[in-house]
Amino acid sequence: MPQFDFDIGIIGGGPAGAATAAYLAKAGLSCVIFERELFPRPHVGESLVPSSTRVFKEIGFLEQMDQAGFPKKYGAAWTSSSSEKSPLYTASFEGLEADCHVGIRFEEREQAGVDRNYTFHVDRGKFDLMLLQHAHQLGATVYEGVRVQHVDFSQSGQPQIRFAIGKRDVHTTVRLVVDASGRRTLLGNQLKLRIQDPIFNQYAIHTWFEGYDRSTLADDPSQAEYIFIHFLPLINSWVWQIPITETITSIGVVTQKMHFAGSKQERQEFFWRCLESRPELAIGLRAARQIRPLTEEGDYSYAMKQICGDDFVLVGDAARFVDPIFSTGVSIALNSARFASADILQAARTGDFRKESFRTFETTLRRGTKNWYEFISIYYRLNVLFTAFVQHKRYRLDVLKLLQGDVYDENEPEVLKLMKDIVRQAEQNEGHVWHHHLGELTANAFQPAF
Amino acid sequence: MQRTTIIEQLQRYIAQDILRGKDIGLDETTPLLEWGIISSLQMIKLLNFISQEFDVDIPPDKLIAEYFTTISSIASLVVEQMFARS
Repeated sequence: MPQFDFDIGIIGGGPAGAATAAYLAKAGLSCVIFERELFPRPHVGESLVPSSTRVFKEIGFLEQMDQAGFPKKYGAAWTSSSSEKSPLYTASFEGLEADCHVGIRFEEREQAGVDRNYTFHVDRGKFDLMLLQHAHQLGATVYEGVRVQHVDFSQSGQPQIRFAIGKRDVHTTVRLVVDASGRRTLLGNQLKLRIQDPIFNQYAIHTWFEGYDRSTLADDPSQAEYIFIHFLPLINSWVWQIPITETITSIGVVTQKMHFAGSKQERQEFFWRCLESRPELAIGLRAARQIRPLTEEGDYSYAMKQICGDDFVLVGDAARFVDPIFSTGVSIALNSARFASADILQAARTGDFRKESFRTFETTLRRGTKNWYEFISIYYRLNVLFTAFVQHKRYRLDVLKLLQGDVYDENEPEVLKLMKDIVRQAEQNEGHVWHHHLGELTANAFQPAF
Repeated sequence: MQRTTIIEQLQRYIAQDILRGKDIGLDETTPLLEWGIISSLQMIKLLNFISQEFDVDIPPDKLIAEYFTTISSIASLVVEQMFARS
């Protein structure tokens, strides 16, 4: 009989890893998390969507979220330079159950004063630490400051996670490895599964400001706590505005990588030049105080040829990253943890951790990421269409459902099919009223890689 | 619904909501797209208006400039869609 140190070895203690550990430890499996950083540490991806709520509830974390004092996120607003003074359109989460399953009410709904039409904006240092501690409280063993170097799969059914402590090489033998290493994509690199996205090649540069007036481009003070997406006149480029605390706001510029060449100094200038292209935004930010250095994120759109295999599963950013336009990173991380955990628990019952055991996870995630990818592609390809649908009484809720991150149950949501149809018409017919509004990104790469 | 009623309602909508009372001598033959009266965002509002007012949705393959050149041509499109529906 092989000796196992733990049932499950999880690489990475961010939301995907911590949520996986929480689900599994709660169900009685022994889990170990190896996190290379010491928490808390800053991280990009500060706005959630409501499909996170269900995971928080299932792992018993919702109350902590409600009490942590994170700004509540009731919706989103988009602004453009052609409508400088007020948002183009806004979407609040009202009208849908926050667990994203239309018409199904969870028991939390009965709690007095609990309104589930919101999610949260989070300081990722604090949020990730809370979630990791929660996994620990549920029984997971957590090592911080331990950087996993490699996983040895040579012994089938007994993967060994290898890392160094001090000068000594150490290894841990587990039944299954969960790679939650984020954009480091540890197993993706080691097993050569990673494929760079040929379409999205976005880049982000971001920081925090203290004292920025978030109602600067809102037409109603209640929107000040929304996430704002400010479109820039530069193609496929936009700015995020995310409340972090009462007084701190996260600001990030997202653009195509080609705009980003050059030195650090030039990037600093580029960041401000982008903001200056929306004068009111720039004036508001100049009046505030930048409290963190600019941080850059690049090369973040990729897919994997496989998201599971014999003795391993990939979750969160380690499995896939598209584009952060709809604040989906943490939600996808949490939901991939949720789907993976269900299969892992079943596999633990049978003792079979081969690839076939994770088929449901694979199918569900393929469906979800495909829907997301298409939605985002349409968004960039024909933005006016998104505007049209968000304002349309018949489709508004369907689009909201997608915006909430509810993308996993349907093979192809009707509303996506219709949007794709319109994009096709606009592409093929020069006389189409929106032909001249087609963006640079083409809508032909609609295939997931796994 | 009569075609003339549709034309009247479209004309009132464009005059009030798009032109906001600006007098350009709008009538059913005014070239809406050519004169830049209907921008892409206004097109969205117009489609919503048509959907609400006449209870017809313009299908994707009819979102062609030639159907939206004038109030008259939009009215023809609406009438056609009303027939298609019934």
